Amino acid sequence: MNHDRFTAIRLKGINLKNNAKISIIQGQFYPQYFILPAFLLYAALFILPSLLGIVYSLTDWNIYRNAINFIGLDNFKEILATSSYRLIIGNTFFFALVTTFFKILIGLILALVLNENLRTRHVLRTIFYLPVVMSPLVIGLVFISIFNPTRGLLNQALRGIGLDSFTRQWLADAGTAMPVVMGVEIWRLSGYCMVIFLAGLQLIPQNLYEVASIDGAGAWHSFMNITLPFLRPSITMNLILNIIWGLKAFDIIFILTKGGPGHRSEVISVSVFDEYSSGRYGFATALGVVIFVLTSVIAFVVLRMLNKREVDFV
Amino acid sequence: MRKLKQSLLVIALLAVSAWSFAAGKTEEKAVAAPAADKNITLTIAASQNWLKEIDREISKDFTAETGIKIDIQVNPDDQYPAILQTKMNTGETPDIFYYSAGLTLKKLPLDKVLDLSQEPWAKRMKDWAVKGSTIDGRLVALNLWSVDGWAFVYNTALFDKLGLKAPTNYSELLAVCETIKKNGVVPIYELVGDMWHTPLYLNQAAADASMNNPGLYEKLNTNKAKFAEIKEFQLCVSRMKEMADKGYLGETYMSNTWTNAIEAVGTGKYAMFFGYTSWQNEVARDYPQSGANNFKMFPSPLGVEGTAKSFATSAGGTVALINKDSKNVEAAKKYFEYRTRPEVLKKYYDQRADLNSNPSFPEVEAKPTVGLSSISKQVNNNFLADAQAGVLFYDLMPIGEEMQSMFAGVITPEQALKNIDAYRAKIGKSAGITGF
Repeated sequence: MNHDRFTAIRLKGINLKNNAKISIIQGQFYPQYFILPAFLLYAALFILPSLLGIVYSLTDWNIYRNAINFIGLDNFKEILATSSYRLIIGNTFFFALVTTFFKILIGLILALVLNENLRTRHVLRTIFYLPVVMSPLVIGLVFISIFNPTRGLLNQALRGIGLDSFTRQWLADAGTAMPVVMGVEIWRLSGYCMVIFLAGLQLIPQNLYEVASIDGAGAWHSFMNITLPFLRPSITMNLILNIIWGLKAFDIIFILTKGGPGHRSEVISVSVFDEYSSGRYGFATALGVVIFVLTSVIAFVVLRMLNKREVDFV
Repeated sequence: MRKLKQSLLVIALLAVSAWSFAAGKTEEKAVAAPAADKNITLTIAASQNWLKEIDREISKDFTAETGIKIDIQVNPDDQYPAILQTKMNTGETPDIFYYSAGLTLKKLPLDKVLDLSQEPWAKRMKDWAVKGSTIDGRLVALNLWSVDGWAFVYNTALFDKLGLKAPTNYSELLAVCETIKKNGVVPIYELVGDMWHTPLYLNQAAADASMNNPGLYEKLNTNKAKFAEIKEFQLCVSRMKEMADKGYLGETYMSNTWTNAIEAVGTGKYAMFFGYTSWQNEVARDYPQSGANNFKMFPSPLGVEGTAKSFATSAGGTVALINKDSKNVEAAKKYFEYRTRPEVLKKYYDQRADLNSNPSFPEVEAKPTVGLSSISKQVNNNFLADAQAGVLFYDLMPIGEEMQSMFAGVITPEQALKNIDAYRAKIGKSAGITGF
């Protein structure tokens, strides 16, 4: 069988190949109306609010006046014309790209190491995954304490080893605020990527490594030609999810720096909160639409690019 | 066996969660008492630092007398306005909610707030309290606060030891700071990171500017004047930056917090703090050896070229409003009536050392601090309304954000003022105010 050109789907013990154009939705196994309850719920809780949000983003809805007036694209024009918002959009992309890269890299390294037959691998997997399940609020408060310039653990440790010149006001310095926030986010979610990669690693047939070893392939060749291709679905999933999370990041940044100093660590979600607090609901919604559009476009493009190159392993 | 252990662990976790939830839910509920209104629960919302233990104690007494339960809901300081606005927009407005007095009240949908003009206690409230709670001729709030202002509180013992006198102008302030710094003490404790504090200096500058330019607030409120064009504001922000650059705010002013201010001054690490007139009482309470009861104050000279001649005061701190659409309006009125009884007011202000320098009702004796007396003498009782009291959209957090950018070196003082003007312009335009 040629495994390169299609993906096999297992359903109740029956193999269906998508190049034969048989799909579940054609009703051969489930009636179409089975999807209605879930779709209605999804539409009510996601599609409808999203559409309403787009409508409100075209208005001057605010707390100061009862009347809501249609103003077209004025909110979006203001976003693009204001240098601080352009900086914030740039910050958002930067945050998403850098954190995604390092989360995937560190998650992959952890997965490769913890996939080996170590006696403590289960404990270590739990330890590295723990930050994922901790509340971002708790993490933020702990790191605020760690980064405190006078009594924080980091600066105290640096002073203790004679590196006083390396101490900083980590969260209040325009040059370090964003890197610090990104570092905390990477620390927090690398464990999630690790778990996804671990799941992917379990599905790689081990006989391929044996065959490659017999043929004289080294560790690097095995990794590049066996592990990575089979991990593409996991990489795709991690890439999509982390880009989306990065573009929508709010809690950690808000707790640590509130986007300061000088908007240097501010991302779109924090701006949405600030504008909402100022009572400019229409404008805040427009910023939300910007995130929605950016996230959707980027996620769609990345998904299309990577899905073509996935490896079938049946 | 393994499955049994796992099941027991899950059951234990669920039990702990359920217990925590139940315990948390009942924390703010007062004990019910047999009375006609025992089925009513009044919800009261406020910022977390506005309500103290005495408020809870008085609420319990109220419940014991009337049977009406009180559910106090507090929120983080910087998020309370947004949370309150959300609740008001979703029809979940609390029965009673606190807010800042003065023009800031205009940010609320005042058509949903009860008119309290005819309440029996309204005529007893002091004039400044009525003024700060009245919008468009309607008394919309009860003031249980104090009119106060912000100025430099200084350690008099340290000043005496170093042979210093309270500065009356900016040059003298610089000289005092230099002397203090040379003696190993940080001159001023500042908290730029908290954002709401640095705009308070501009509050004083606004009062100075209004004294030199009659009608200035009206011009600012119709966009006929801008912050960036006012000399007093220009002086104030550039001097604040200069003092930071000279090291007079210490090394950690960007990340200092409000909660550590008392310790900073009480332990003698810092010599001065820009605080309100009764702040020294709190220092004296926590650090009796500091001599804080004898601390004095002087007005900020940052916005004037010569001698500081005025003391900027607020519109009355924070006030309590009643939701007009509440199902428990009568109960809420009863609560306000209870809180304004002379004996209850006395009990309240006795426990609020931060507010008893000028209580909102005449039945309670004012206990001005040494600081307030010293500043009153210095400015010959020339108390003027500050920016928060008289200028529309003088919102501390957005303005503080620009000040933070200035201190971080991201923007210049001039750009900070222009950004404040831009912020006010966009809010004014949204509100449909003439001129914006």
